[in-house]
Amino acid sequence: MSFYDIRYLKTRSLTLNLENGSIEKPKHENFAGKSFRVLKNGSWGFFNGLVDDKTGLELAERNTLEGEVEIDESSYSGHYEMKQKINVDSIDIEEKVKLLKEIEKELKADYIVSVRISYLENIREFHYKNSFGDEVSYVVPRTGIAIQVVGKDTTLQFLSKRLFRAGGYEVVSGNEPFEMASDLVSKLKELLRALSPPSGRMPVLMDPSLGGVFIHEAFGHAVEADHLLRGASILRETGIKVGPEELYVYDDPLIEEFGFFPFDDEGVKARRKAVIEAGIFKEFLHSRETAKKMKGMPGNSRSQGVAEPLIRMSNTYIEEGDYSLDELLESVGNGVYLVGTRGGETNPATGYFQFSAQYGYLIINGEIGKMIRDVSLSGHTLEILKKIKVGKGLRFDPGFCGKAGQLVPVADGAPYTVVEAFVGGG
Amino acid sequence: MKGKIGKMDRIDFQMELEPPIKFLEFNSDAWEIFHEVEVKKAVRIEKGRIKHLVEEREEGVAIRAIVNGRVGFSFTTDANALIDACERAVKITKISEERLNDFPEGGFSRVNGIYGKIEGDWLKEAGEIVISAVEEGVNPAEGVVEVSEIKKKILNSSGAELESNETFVSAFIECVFEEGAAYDLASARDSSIDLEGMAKNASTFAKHSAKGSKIEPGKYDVVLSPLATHQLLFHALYPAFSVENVVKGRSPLANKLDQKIFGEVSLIDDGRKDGLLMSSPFDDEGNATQRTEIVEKGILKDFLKDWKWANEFSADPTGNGIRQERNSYPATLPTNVLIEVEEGKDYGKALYIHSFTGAHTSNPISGDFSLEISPAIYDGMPIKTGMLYGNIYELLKKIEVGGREKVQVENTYTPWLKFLGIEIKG
Repeated sequence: MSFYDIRYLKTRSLTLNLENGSIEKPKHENFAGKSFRVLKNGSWGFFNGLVDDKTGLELAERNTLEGEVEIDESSYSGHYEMKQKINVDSIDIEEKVKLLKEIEKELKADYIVSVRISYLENIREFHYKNSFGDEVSYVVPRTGIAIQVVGKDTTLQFLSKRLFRAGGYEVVSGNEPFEMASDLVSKLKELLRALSPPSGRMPVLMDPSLGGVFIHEAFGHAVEADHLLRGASILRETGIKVGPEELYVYDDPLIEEFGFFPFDDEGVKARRKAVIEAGIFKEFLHSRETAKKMKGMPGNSRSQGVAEPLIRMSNTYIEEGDYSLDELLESVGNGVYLVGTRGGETNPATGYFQFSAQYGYLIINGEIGKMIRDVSLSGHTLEILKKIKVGKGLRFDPGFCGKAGQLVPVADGAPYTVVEAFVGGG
Repeated sequence: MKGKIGKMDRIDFQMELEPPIKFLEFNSDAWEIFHEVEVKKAVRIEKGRIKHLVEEREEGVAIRAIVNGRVGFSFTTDANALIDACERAVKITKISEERLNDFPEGGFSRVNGIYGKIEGDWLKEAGEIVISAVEEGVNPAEGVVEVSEIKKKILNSSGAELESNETFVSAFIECVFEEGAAYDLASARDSSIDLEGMAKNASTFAKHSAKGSKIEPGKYDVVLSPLATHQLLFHALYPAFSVENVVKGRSPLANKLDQKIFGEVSLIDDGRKDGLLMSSPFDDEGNATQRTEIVEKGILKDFLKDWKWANEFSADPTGNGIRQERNSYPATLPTNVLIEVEEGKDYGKALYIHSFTGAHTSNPISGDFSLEISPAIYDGMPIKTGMLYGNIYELLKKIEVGGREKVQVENTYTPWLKFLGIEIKG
């Protein structure tokens, strides 16, 4: 056996849903899981299950085959505990319920037919050790609130917003959830009367929320080195020019947003990765295995629970540029302004991606016009960034990113940006 | 130790339920324990090679407790935390407004073909079958074949005591050829899974995708593959069948019972059809599964009902209380949706769509979608990309015929389906 590692994970969480005035499906969860991984004869073998270390490693070893895997042997030990400014355990559950009911009061209007407000708290307690003698552990809390409203006029439409961050009850105890609620109420009213979007290739102004998902989907996935090593990535080498000089993109697990982690699931200390600097593609995201093969830095291996670690993003964002919002609008001339997201998908092998906005507006002669709905945007990884214009107002939006059946918390950030893309809609 | 893969170890429960049952009998008015253990083994394929094997064992207990008509829920995988989980489930009832008075007495339908024996080295062989079925020169970039055995038990205070054993075999392969890529899925209850067909399909469409041209915008007769049909219906249509969504004003079908909503097509939810993937003798809260005609020749006949929402709707449950994960509350979800439509010999000159990108961004409330078509063929010519957008209710009015052979993709059991005069954007 040339290497082994053992992960032991405990998470505990509380979920509350306020649906149309009632607390529905309140839930506690206490998860415990262990994962064993052995590298032998150049092949991994995995076993996940709550057994003692000796048995776990034997079962993992039984699953090794033969191969050529080698790994980056960076070695780290340490403990990290994220302090909660307001500990979630110090707040009674009744108070959490009260907060949801207070937020709901903001969500009243005759056109609103359904309201769902969810509260989530999760404490992740992670322990890692490996055959180098490394020992890593951390405790990271995540807390948040999500709101979804459904409205009815001639059609049914919905809008949603999420406020999820690494941290304790302080994430939700300020004014932000109430601001989210009142914004949803006014936007939903407009959305019920919104127009169908135009279609075709056109300039698109993206708000920070959509811009974040854009950089995650349109470029971020292609930067995950596992796709490349399988021969399934359109992005094959660093050092190539992919955007204008003003474009800077980073993946930074150390920002205290939803994608925060101090060590990855291979026990590697987290660090910021420069994905694009001055328009040049700089760095792939790596695991220990891909880092060794491509002479990169590991640190982006993540798992849902104790599943097999995969190369994942964390907090991915476009750095602010120089354009003001007015300058961006002027540069669009005639096009669309798209806001918020319902998620997206990309295929790193072909470079084609698609994602949807929650709503948008027509832009006519540089001025924001009528609202449009059910609008999506698509394009190609190697083309889309070439003419991007980067503005100000960087903001992160949380989400769960799916890959090979595993979901992990991430945050995507961007300032206001303009790209040229294919816009379509219902 | 090599050569033992693929064979399932004996699967059994290890958690002792008597103490939690005693606790719940003493501290709640009614209770339910959902106990599940799953053993999974998977072989991963990377760039045409068997990469490694992963084995997982997870056992979990989900508890629902009722106190004064209020439901609490708790889940744990930790055998040492069972009483703690019961305490949490009981305690959270205080703030819960999830209303239920009792749990079902339990029912059992006769279902065959949901448990298959998988012998010896099959899993590794299966990986090799997938690789060798991919055409020479095409890269089988990423794939997996997975065998899973699940033992499920439901106990409750109404006297239900149900147990079932099921197996699942599933596979996925993504093939890459030059700048093109395509994937396909297969699944079955045993080793009769069509791995070769899946690999050939993905391989053929990867080549099409590489050579393909963009499609001319315009109106086309469109054929959806079973995979594309499932991707679209699962996200844009099935949520509207849930009686929970009907009661909560989130379904556009709420007032449409006995009305003609589609063309000549029938959709039947059948949770007890022999051998299908979602078939089971009982649903995840112990109600017998059944056959429910949701849409009969275009006319809406019924909704899907779980225990709680059947009650709210003053109807009987349809065996659709399904837990998306073992740690979740039962929700109203489809089992196997059988799609029946007049059989057509072949689809003639039409745009055949293999799969979509971004189906999960569809609007489940309005049924609107805008999706990127990843590989497709038109009149023998490969198509690289295009956009299909519209509304699921409008699309299903234009259904004409379907193919002879039905294939199951997750919840959907369907042949290819042909729709007339659908607008495609370039």
